[in-house]
Amino acid sequence: MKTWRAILLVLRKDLLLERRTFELLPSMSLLALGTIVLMRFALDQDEVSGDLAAGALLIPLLLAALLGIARLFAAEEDDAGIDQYLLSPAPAGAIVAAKVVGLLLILVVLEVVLVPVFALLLLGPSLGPALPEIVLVLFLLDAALAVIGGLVAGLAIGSRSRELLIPIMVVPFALPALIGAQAALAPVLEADPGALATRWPAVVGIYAVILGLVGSVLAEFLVED
Amino acid sequence: MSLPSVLAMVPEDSGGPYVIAAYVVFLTIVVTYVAIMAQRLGKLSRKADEIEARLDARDAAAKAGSGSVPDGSPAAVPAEPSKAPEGVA
Amino acid sequence: MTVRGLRPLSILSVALIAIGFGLVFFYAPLDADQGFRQKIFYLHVPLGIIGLIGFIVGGWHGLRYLRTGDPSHDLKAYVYIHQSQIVAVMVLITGAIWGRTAWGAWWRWDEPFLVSFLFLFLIYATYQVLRFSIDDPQRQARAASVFAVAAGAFVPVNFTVVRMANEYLHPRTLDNAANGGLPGPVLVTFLVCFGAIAVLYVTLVKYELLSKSTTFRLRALERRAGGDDLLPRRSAVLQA
Repeated sequence: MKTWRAILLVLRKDLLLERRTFELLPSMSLLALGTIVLMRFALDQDEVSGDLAAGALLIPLLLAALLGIARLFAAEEDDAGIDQYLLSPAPAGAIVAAKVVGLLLILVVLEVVLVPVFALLLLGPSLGPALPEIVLVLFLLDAALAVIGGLVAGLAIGSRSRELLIPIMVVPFALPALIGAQAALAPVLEADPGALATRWPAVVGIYAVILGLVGSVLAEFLVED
Repeated sequence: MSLPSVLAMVPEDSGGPYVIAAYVVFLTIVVTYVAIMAQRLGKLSRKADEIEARLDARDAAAKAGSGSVPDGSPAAVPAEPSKAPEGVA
Repeated sequence: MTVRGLRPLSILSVALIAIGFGLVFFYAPLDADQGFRQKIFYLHVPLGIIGLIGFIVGGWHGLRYLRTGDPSHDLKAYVYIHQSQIVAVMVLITGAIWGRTAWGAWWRWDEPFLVSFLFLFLIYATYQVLRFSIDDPQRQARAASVFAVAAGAFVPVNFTVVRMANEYLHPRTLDNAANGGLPGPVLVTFLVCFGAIAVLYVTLVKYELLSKSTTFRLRALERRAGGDDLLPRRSAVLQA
């Protein structure tokens, strides 16, 4: 079976499952919203801008992503789905690739909801002028988080302590992407938005690409029987 | 050169005690680690030698005792240590 | 598995460390800028470099395991990563001490080398958690190797990103090394210390490999004993 076709099939299955059960996206949104509220009181600011705004947006996103990553292989873990998948002629790594794409889509949908809510509740400056830059940076960050998520969730498949392992592994792997995203977002979220320094989105993007290349070599070993 | 005379050369204002502390911490960690490992390793290898000697004696006795070893006797167990993959634990 | 040359290596590392530390305190000149505190450089920097190389070698063995399926590569990946974890802790401790002497603070976020090491420490600290939470030995070795490769690839990327962030936020003057190189005696002392730490690292790796292979030998003997009561204190040994 062609890799692309296998990826599409698994992706379609996962998206259908999410549409029917509708459990992951609401949970992730709620956690992110709760964390934004937490940020309001942790920082004790009615509205934030610049550095603080970037942090107050990125941390809820990261926590929501952690939730999504922990559930990434949930359907497969529940009924030995991995074994059944391996019985099919599809290449072993394709399921990991499908999970990465699925997580990326979910993160994008989450942000479509979350960023306006964040702007409404906490962000001082208006969202409008900086929107294209924010969309670009968040998309690159999502890509990096999705690749990390696929890798880490794949590693934790056979583990007894998945729910411990996934957060403690995702956070350090996400640090370089978070550094880049924070440095990119901080100036554009200022009250008087500065220009986007191209190097920072580039850092996040290149990090995602490097991890993606490493991951694409390793993916087949993650689910091999 | 004695220790006090070395310590007397250490300038206080330039973080002398801290630098000395860093080297001491390094040496302490290494020496402690090696000591613990040596103790464990010594115990393990003595044990292994002892067991091997007893096993050899047992196998030799079994071979000398009867030409054909009955099934299920200890000597029927493969004498070659198996090369099964090992976890790191 | 044979572990050759452990005794000469041990003697060599003790000798080199004695010579190296002797040079540090009795030969290397006091730094014009930093004075005595600069001497921690001869410990901190070699440890850092060797630790990094060890992490990368661990990743390389992980890759070899994935390619060949030979468990000895997985074992080597484990031992290299374990030794580098110990070294990383020492890098963080010596770095904090250096920070305390130089800036009066145990930790500064504008020191990219230290911050990068903290990230690496956080990543590699999960290695054993991952490894020992997987029961199936083959799956365990494979997951650990995948992790070793991914984290090994993370090492250089991490350093680049942290350094970039730091240069952007805290522009600073050129490093000493870029300013026409190190003076002769400093360089000699540094190289001897670097060699000493490198030989010590290799010795400790071989030492741990020997320890692991002795454990395996004992287990093989257990299997050979086949349940015979030849081993009166058997369980006590395996727990040791």
